[in-house]
Amino acid sequence: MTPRSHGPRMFILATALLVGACQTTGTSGTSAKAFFQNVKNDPPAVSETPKNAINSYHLVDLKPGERPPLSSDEAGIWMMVDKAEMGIATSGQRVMDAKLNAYVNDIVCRVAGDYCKDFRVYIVRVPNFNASMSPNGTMIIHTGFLLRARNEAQLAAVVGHEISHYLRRHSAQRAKDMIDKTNALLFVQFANAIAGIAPVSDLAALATVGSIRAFSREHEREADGYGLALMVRAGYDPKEAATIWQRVMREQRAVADKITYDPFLATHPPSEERNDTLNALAKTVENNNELRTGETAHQNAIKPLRAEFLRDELAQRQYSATLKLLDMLLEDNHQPAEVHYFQGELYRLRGKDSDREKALSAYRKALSEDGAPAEVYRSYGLLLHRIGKKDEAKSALESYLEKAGDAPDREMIRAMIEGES
Amino acid sequence: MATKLRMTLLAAVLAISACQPYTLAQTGKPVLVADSLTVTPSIDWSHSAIGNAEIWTVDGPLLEDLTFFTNVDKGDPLAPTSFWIRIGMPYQKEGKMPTFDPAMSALEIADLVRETYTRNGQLNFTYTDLAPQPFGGNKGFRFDFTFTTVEGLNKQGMAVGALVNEKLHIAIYTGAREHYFEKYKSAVETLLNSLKIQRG
Repeated sequence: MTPRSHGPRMFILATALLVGACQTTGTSGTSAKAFFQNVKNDPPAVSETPKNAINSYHLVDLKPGERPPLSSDEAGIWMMVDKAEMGIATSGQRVMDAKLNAYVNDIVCRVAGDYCKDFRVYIVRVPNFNASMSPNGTMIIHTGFLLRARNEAQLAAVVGHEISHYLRRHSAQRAKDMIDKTNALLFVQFANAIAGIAPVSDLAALATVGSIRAFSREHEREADGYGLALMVRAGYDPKEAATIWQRVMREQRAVADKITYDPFLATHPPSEERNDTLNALAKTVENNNELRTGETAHQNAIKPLRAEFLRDELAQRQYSATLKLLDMLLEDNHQPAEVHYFQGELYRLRGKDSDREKALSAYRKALSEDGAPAEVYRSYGLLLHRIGKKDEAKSALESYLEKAGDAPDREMIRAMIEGES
Repeated sequence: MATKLRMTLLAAVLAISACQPYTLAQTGKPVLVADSLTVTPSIDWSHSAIGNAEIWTVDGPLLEDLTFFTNVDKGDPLAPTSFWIRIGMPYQKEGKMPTFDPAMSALEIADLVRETYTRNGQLNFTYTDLAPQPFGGNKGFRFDFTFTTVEGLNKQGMAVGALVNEKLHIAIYTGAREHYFEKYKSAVETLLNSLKIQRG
């Protein structure tokens, strides 16, 4: 055991506590009333939401800024997750890009309303569809989720859902439940046991396996309903809540090779039932505000980092799921040149059967679109070089050098071109 | 009973021998690296071989390490899973790691290194200054790179390598960007200048 191993292990444990505490079922041996000494079950704080079915969800259990009384069990749980949060805050996985953080924080604040200051948002560089909330208001957003959301409304739908778990204190109930059942020790042991084998990108995933069952349907429905109410209050079209789940379902169905265990989807099953419920709920919302989806704003916010996020997806080597994701992004029709480029990259890296032809064709499509990244020429040239089309390779690589003058590999490319002339 | 005891002892011996300790590479004395290369260090290093890979360090691999990946064959990842476990890097199973192909250009090999590190959980891996450079008397390549560990430590690195008889040999030096990378950089360069390929 080298000293280096402890870092990931501690991180996994921290993540386990955070995420574990987040994804809850909430059946407790202690009555909820006794445990939550200061729960307010009373009237919804969202007065501007019109009278309709969604109003049956009370939006407040906590006052803004409220922390559990120091003498309560819940304060102990908060202390644990406060500590775990410090690990997330300094993690190398954290995306520090100021603009992206400002964008996501703004949406969280709009959805959270008066509770804005209760949440700290951490964007982490992990390529899967996930977002989570801990009992102390630590919200983790995966870059894979930002990539998959088509618009602000879809982001707001999931953010609203997670905020609802916080407001209704589902997480705290679940954490208390684990401790009551002496699962805490087992949970920690489990987190340690898997630390030795876990890839970083799946830390959060694996950390939830041992202790977390799916949310109770009751809590899920509740959070779905709350989430819709919150997103509508923030002015977003509630139809998008069902749409983001449909997108996830499409991608999941494409995974012939079931490589991934996805904790978020395991605890938030994107079922037909959820889809129907969300659609039905969305129809009950009466709203006087103008509802929007915020597609351009979302796409502009992720644009500067989207290529990096897609590169992370490719590194997962889950090609069938990534192909489906790329298909969906093509349908969305934002920067199609970039999407075609990554299709080409996927085929080039996979290298099966007719993948080379598919890759060449994808690169050509990318080059036929506006705004093709210079890297298309590089990959196209490398592939042509591989299949012995030296002249075409040379021409593509020259175009690459022309378009990316300060390319980090320019000297090597020049040497390749000279070797071929 | 005797058989059971014997089996237990055998298992224990196998388990212990699986943990190869670091051995000392002394200043000025040539060392055979992973049965494939020879180098002559200008300072004392600790080194340890795991499969086709061999790690060299002075202050510990958390701070700096010079790793040789030797004789990487077609279809193989840079190193076996046991190597990544040994150096304490989060890792993936072999089936999920990118693999080498002798038809790869230096650019694709640099991409392979980036993908290997990314796949093992390192973040923001960016390489620069990829250029031709001889390696052990062969036509080779070099590049510099940076990445961040999952704990948030910024690291710097450089790689030199070559394809010899369709097999990849590559030496990768990484260190904490603050202090450690610079601390042994010149010792690494001296050591790599002394490198000779014995078998490939």
